[in-house]
Amino acid sequence: MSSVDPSNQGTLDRSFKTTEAFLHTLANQASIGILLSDPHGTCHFVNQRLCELSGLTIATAAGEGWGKALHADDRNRVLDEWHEAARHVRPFSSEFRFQRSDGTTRWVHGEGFALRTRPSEISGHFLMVRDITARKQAVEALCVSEERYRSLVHLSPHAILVTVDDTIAFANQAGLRMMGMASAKELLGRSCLDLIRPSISEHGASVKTEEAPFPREATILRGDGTTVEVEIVGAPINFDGLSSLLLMFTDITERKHAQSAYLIARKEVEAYRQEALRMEAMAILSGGIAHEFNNCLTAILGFSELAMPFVSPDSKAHGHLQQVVTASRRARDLVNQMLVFRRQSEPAKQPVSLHVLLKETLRLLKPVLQENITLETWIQTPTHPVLADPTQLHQVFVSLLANAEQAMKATGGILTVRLSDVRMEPSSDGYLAQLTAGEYVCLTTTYNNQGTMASEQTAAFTPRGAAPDGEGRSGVGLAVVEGVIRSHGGAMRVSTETANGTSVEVYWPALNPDDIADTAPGGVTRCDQENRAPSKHEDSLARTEKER
Amino acid sequence: MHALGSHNHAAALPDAERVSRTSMSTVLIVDDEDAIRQLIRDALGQAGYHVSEARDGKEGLLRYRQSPADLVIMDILMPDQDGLESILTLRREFPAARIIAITGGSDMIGILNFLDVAKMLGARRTLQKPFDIKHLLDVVQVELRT
Repeated sequence: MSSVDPSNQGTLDRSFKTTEAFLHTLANQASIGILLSDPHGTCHFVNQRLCELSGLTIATAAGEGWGKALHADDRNRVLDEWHEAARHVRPFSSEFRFQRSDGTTRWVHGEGFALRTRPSEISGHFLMVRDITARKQAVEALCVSEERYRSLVHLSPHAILVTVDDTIAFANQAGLRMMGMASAKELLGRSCLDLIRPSISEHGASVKTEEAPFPREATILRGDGTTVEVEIVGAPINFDGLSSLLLMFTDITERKHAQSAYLIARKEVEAYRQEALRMEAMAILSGGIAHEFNNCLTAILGFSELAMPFVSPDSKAHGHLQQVVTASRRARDLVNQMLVFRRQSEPAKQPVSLHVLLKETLRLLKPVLQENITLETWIQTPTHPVLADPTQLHQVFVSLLANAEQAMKATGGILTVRLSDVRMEPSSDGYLAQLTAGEYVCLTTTYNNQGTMASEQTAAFTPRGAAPDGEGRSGVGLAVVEGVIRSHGGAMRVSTETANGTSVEVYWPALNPDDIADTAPGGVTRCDQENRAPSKHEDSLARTEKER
Repeated sequence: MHALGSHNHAAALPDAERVSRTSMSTVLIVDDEDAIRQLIRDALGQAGYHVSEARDGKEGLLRYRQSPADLVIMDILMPDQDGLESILTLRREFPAARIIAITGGSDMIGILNFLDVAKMLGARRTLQKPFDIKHLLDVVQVELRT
């Protein structure tokens, strides 16, 4: 032990104090937490930063107090490691958490080592604590993110593969199913060149330059020998440090089949359209030919008939003329068949406004009604649209009115035409029982028929009933009318016992407004000008028109 | 093409085939087909009717205005003025005019054929070509009697 010159004692004291103050300032200004302990690990100093990290004060940290700030999950481990290091004079290094009194947690990395006054003398231990909370949180977030994406990849219904140098390095569950493999072992390590056609590697170069030609369609050759049509999207990724290609597959087998079916259907539709055009052209041609033929046949047949009386029935010439007549009549039948062919067409049903169609028909018929018939009309405007063939409806209107006119021919009188919306409830009436409950449009023609016998009323239902002479008409009797109405889902009822005479009611099912857009994109036809809000003068049944 | 006008062939038809005739009734034939006009003219002439002719609707109306016939046989499909328009005009000017409409055509107006429309416009009878001469004579006879 060396003695100290008393004259230098003051200088030494000041030097120690200066050093102590310097160290104290240095410790409290440091950005790391500092803990000093005795050789047994018992704390006797903490700096300001450690207090901030741990939520302790210098007083509460003293002794074993600092251990109370350790997170409960880390405390025993950290204290054991700390005392163990102190006991064996070993460096200490550990990551742990301080649980602060304000409820927050700080992750820190602590490093400790022994303080030696001499090589063989341990005066204590020094612990440095760095705040790593931000890094820990980033790592935790990364782990959560990785787990999330891992789950997404594994649970994805889309097949996902990762290839490295054309070798399959990863496949999710959907990928295994798509490839027809029972386990990853069967698939991983195989070349995608063998399993995907056309080969992905054909575009490998462009993929690596991030000009991936995706999406693209390909065929998968599955493990069981079957194939799957897929659409592939892909992108270059880093997989375990290797430059790789991430591929995601969507099964488009059904879509491809649907496309094939669509193409076939389109061809069929086009063929059908061509056939329809051809048939239409044929029909037009046949109509023109029929006209010319009929004129020729009229002359051939007529002149032959005229000539026959001038030829002896026993002569060969008479027989020849008879052959001409027979052949001409056969030709006439053939022409009629051609005309029947021409008239064969399916009714074209569309949304129709009956009030418009009825007004058009009345406008046509008014000029040719017998003078002794007074026409009264009660037409609701507008009526519900109905789904019908306008030309057939026109025929119905004409037939009903022609039938009424025929019945009134002898005596004349008042012909009333009424059109309105009605709601039908279930009916037991024989004629109307077939109608389901719902909205209908009803046309009623009422006329006095004093000049019509009951037998004539019955005859009106024959196909040619409304055509008294039966010549040259296409059949517009009430039986035909009823057939047309039935084909439209409606019904007809004839009553001859009303006070006003005969009443014919015709019911058409109203078209559901929701169906109009489906049946005719353009909406209700033939009522563009009429299907508007009723005006003051035509808002209801109250309007009566005295036609004649 | 022969000149159109009036003809009388009353003596041409054998007695057994003659229908009972209305004394010298006049029938106007309106048809653009020469052969058809000649056929009807001969048939009606042999049956004792007085016959006049016109090639189309306009000419037919002119002839009717000059000399109203007891019966008009009107073709439908004709150039210039068709039979439907001619029937409408004729009935408007002469409401009592008796008209038989004939056609070899099959065209439709809506779902009605020409003959349906002709009847709506005022034709009393209709005949689809080709027709039997005897049927034509029967129809003419019935119309002229009523």
